[in-house]
Amino acid sequence: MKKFTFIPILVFLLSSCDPFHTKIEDQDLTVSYYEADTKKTNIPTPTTLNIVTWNVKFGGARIDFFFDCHGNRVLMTEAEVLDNMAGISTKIRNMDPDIIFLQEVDIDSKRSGYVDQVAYILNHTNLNYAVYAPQWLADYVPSDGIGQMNSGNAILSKYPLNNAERVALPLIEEQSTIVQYFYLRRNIITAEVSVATNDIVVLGTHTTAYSTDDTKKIQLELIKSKVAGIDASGKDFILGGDFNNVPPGTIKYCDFDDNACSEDSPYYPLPCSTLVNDLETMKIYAEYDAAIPQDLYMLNQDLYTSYTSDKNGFWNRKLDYIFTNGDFIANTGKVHQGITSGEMATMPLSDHAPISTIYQLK
Amino acid sequence: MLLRTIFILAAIFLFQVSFAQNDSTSTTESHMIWKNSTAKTLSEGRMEMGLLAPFVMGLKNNMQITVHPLAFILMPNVKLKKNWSSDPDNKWQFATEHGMAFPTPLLNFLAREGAGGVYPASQTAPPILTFQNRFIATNFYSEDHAVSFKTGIEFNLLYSQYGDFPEVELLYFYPRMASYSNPFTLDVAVGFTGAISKSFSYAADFTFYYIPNDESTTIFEFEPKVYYYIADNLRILAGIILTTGNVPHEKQDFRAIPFLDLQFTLFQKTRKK
Repeated sequence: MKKFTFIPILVFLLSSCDPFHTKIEDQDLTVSYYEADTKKTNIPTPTTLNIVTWNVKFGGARIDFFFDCHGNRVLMTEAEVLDNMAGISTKIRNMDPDIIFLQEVDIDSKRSGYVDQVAYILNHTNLNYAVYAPQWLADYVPSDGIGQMNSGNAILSKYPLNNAERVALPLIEEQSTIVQYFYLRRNIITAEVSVATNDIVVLGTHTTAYSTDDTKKIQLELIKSKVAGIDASGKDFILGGDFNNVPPGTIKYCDFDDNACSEDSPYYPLPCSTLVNDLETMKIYAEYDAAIPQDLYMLNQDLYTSYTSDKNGFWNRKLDYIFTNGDFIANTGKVHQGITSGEMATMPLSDHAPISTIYQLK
Repeated sequence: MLLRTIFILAAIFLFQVSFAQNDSTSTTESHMIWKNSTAKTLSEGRMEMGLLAPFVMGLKNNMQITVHPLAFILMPNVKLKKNWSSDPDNKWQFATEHGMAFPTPLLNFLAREGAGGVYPASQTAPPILTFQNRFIATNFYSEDHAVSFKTGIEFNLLYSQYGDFPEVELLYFYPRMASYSNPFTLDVAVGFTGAISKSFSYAADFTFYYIPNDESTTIFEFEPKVYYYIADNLRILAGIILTTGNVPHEKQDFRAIPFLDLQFTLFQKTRKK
């Protein structure tokens, strides 16, 4: 039997390693810092900050991908991505944010022609600095032909960002080990920005979309606990991101008409009976200022919807949020649903519309 | 750091080879009859296979045929090796190896939705017919040890039809598939083979690949292997492939791929004396 002892040793070595380098938490570099090639001049002592959050769908614009079931595309060419990024950058220049939270931004992925989208946006807008934390990292994802992946959350700013951190959110418990190994690892990216005399902690996040267990609830609780800690320490924070959850009191929260997936698809929407409003449980609206306050949302929900998978339809649910323990100037929050709420159509740019608001500096 | 690791491993290996040479009794007869990477071929009628290794059979006139039966359904393949030396006891032995493969069905099988989808389901693999040619010169510098010098070229006869089907841009995989979408893949190798004892033998190849793509990809592989002989007709192989190179978009500078195999001989035709 002694002769065969090297077999389990090899099996152990194989099982204990990370051959596709997907375990972000185990890697040396979990946050990357960026600077624009050419720095743009800022107002020296601003009194307000323009804050935006936007899920940019990895520069996929309105190409019909396999996961939204409207098409079967998996990979884009570099030219397609650069064309889409030009549109996203134009919209960002029009909004002229001081700080923007981006979700689903790719920096080195096969599906998006290996374009570094953070660098691209920095060099095509008035933003100067960025921090990036991966949420989906793999040398190769052997599923659906996705291949190499490096996608995540980013915060871009006109002002320097310091002390960036990636806070890991819990993985989806119900997934098998192999699926979990190659799947997304959600996070909160945090950084500190100093503007005039204000020191603000900025946090960007993107919670899970497809879990049927209570992973999303746990992730939202962890996010709330993180901002509560910052609040308790006396610091100001601005939190932006895609929470993959509709606001409390939402009338239409399931059975959306943009679903094109069949019941056997892993991307088929969850039945209404299993949907829980985790944001209601989280009670974040009660404690912090929202870009779109709850009372405004309840007056006209359609005005604040920010997502649809159907490029030929209209935004049908609100998934994107900005919160602060400071102050947003009243009635400055808006969802850039189209030309009437911005200066250009946003439907062709991503499956999410950007949300903006004005933060009052002290 | 990476090159230092490779050099240290290579140095340890070469030291062990030298040490084994001084110490061992002749075990060539028992070990060298197995398939190896020298210019020699299997004796006529001898058949070998492994759980992972291909089926190999010795033919007449110092020839050997290799077919991977598991892969054959999805990737029809065949390789023929011919030893051109007039005397099998010559210190120098020369051989050429020629092979063909049709991987298109395999690539289409891997173009699928969900898990196992190496390629997008929406894309269809082009017709690919690879042709491999290799020259091998081996010097049996002692009874139990040999060094082989090998060079080969692989190209896709239907290269012009490749189109935009994606590539797998990972070390190890890339040089083995690069000829599908590039004019050719060239390799040059030095391989050591020999016996350590009656129960153990070794093989190690140092291989350099060149692929004429936009980045002029060069890849270096070191593949040490140890065989343990359980019986005359059964051996275990353990090895590792250490590889580095400038594969397009590959994130890692270096990869180490350990492997295990169980290899055995099949029915062997007895020669008439």
